[in-house]
Amino acid sequence: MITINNVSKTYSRGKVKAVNSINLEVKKGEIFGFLGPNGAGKTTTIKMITGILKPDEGQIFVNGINVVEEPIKAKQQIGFVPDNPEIFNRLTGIEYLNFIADIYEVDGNQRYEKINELAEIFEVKDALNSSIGSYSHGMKQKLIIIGALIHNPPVLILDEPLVGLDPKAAFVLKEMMRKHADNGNTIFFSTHIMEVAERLCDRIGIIKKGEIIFTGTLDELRQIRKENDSLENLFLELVDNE
Amino acid sequence: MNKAFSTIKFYVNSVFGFSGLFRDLKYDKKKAVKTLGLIILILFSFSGLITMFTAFNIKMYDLLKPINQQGLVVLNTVIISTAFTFFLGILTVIATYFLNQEGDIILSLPLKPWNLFIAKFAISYLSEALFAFVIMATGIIVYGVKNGEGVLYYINSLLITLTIPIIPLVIGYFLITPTMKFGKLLKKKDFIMYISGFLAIGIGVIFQYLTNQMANFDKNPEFIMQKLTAPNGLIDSTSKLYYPAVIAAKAIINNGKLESFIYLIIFIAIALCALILLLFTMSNIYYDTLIGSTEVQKSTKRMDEKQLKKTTKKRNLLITLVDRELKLMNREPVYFINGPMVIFLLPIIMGASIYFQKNTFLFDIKKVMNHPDFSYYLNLISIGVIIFLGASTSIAATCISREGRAFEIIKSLPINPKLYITAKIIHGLVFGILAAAIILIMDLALFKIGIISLLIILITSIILLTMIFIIEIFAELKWPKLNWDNPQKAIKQNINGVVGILGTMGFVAIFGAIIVRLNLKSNWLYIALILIPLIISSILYQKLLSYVDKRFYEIEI
Ligand SMILES: Nc1ncnc2c1ncn2[C@@H]1O[C@H](COP(=O)(O)OP(=O)(O)OP(=O)(O)O)[C@@H](O)[C@H]1O
Ligand SMILES: [Mg+2]
Repeated sequence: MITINNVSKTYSRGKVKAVNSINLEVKKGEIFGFLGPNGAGKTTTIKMITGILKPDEGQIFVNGINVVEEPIKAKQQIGFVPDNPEIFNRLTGIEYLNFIADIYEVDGNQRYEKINELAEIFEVKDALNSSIGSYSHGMKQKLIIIGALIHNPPVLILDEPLVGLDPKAAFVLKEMMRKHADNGNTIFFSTHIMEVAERLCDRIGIIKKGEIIFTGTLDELRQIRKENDSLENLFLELVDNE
Repeated sequence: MNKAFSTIKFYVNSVFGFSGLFRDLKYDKKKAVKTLGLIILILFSFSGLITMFTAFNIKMYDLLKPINQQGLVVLNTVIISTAFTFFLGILTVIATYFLNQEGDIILSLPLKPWNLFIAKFAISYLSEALFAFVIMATGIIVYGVKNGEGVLYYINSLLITLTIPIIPLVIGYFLITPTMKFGKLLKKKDFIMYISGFLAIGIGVIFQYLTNQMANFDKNPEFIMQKLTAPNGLIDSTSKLYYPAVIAAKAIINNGKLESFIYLIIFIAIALCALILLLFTMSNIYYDTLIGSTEVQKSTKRMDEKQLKKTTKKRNLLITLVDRELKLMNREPVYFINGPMVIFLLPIIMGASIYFQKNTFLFDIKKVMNHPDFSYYLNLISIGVIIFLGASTSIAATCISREGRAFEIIKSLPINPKLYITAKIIHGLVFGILAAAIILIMDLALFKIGIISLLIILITSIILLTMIFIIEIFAELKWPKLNWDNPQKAIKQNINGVVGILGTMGFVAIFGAIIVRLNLKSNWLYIALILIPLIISSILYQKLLSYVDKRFYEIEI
């Protein structure tokens, strides 16, 4: 469960509000898709939920825990896949996963099983011994996804996770997200791929210039717009408005 | 031609950040002041070198004036700055051979190979020109003032100075480019960085040798001068080896005459021809080596089930964090060379300098060892050296900046900031202890120090180092430099790192001066040196823990 109350953020170097008093509620067991044009504030919002950025005002709760007041406890609930997989190039894949698992205090058996299973599915097992610097973009992405799932997080947050994944890996990830949500976990992800949002999400939120202009199910969006159109067309009309 | 200029401009800007500085001067005064401060600090660290060269040149001039050979001062300076720009030039050529900024985007632009090559050349040229300028100034000004030269002389000299680095750099590229091309092994970026690190040791040793030569100069100037200036002496034979130096010197000395002008033109022409020849013959080879430079060693070992099972063990959090620090620092060549390697490098250079003056040194040692206070001072000096070595690794002084953008990943993880920062102190201390071990082994081998002294040195230096590390980490938390594209910027162009090294040097020097001046000779000093820093460290450590708990979440990139 993720609750965002009246959250705003202005970058110290920027003049405009990247996020302007937004409110959001993502329920347990739900996949929430976060849509919006480039520069709308998706990544900024996600960075605030994961504690990378501090909101200027407002509160964020992850499973009822205030992210700013109890950061360590809140982050223990979260698995995070950032938009840019450029990380720790000097570590090997397995060293990275072990580091993440140690931080989340995952015991030896669970981490072995998770790594074994996920590395097999994502076909990166052979690369675990090599340094991350030698990975392709997609391989890095896969490694980070494995790291984000290693502690079976109640809240999974992904920033454009499908970018760079091959069709098979993208399919596997989507299946995994569905299964993870069905197990009672919360999933929040941003994407630019409308078909994915349309088929995968229980609910969507649309952000534009730092403000939420819609939250709800696809059917609700259709009702408001009084059109039985695809998400793509609805999105384009909504965003192009005014 | 235009493209070449824009490429040069782009490269120079992205490496030296001049335009950033000008922008800051206009919009962000505070940042500009910081950058300028860093530049002044770096110049300041050259000051010893400058004084030494100047003093040498003044003496040389005075000795040569009676036999009307004072022009040799200029020739000697030209030779020295050429040699320096050659050796340092090779290092620069290697260090800047692959730049992070020139990823695939630069390679995909419609640029001719020679455009890229000359842009890269410009970068190494700029830093070498600065160096040549500093060294040449010591000789040119001494000669100019003493000989009462006019404006034309200085203009002439400036032109020559700016031309001096070109030929050595051309030779450097002629050596390095084919090596990169044909040595398959050398194609590995990391390997090259290590090679340049070892070259740095070599240059340190040569430098040490020169310094000792100049120091001996005081004792027996006539003899040294003879060695330098006699027919077939050092200057004579070097200038036979590298004739352009003679041309450059003649252009400066005979100024005002037509002859000097001709020599100037010849010197510049030779340099330009060399450069054109380089671009003509090496551009394509250079371009070839750039492609595929980002290749990294890939392990071919497949991970089997059993191995996986064995490696996936839960570990203590603090150990995990320290382990990560160690790996990230030691595996990034730029960090390793400018960090932990200093511990191995400095003793080697010190050893070399002892070796070069071993006759006098052994004699001096025997003399001082009989001094009643010898072991007292030896302990203090050892403590000073260990502290200096420990701080020279820059481990603590750059500990946050080195994370770079990955600091966001760290922030997204449920890491306890107190543990995180403690791991950084421990990381610094690991190498502090290593430095102590090296110095103590030297002490044992050379002076056979006792166990009590050994313990005093070890404990005192480690406690003092802890105190210094904590202060450095405070600075890093307050002013981290996280937004960089090239790891050089986190460690070499980081004001915290530079202040950390120079500050520690100053701290050690001031303390040493106080102890010598006040003639402090009491075992109470050790107790004070242990107890006071111990108390300060524990208070600072508590303060650090509460500071990091707040500050950790405020740092944004
Ligand atoms: N580090 C930063 N400093 C200053 N401004 C920033 C920074 N990062 C983002 N911004 C600004 O904040 C706004 C929101 O950016 P954000 O990255 O959240 O967009 P986004 O919705 O994730 O876009 P995209 O779809 O391109 O990923 C933009 O106007 C952007 O220019
Ligand atoms: Mg984004």
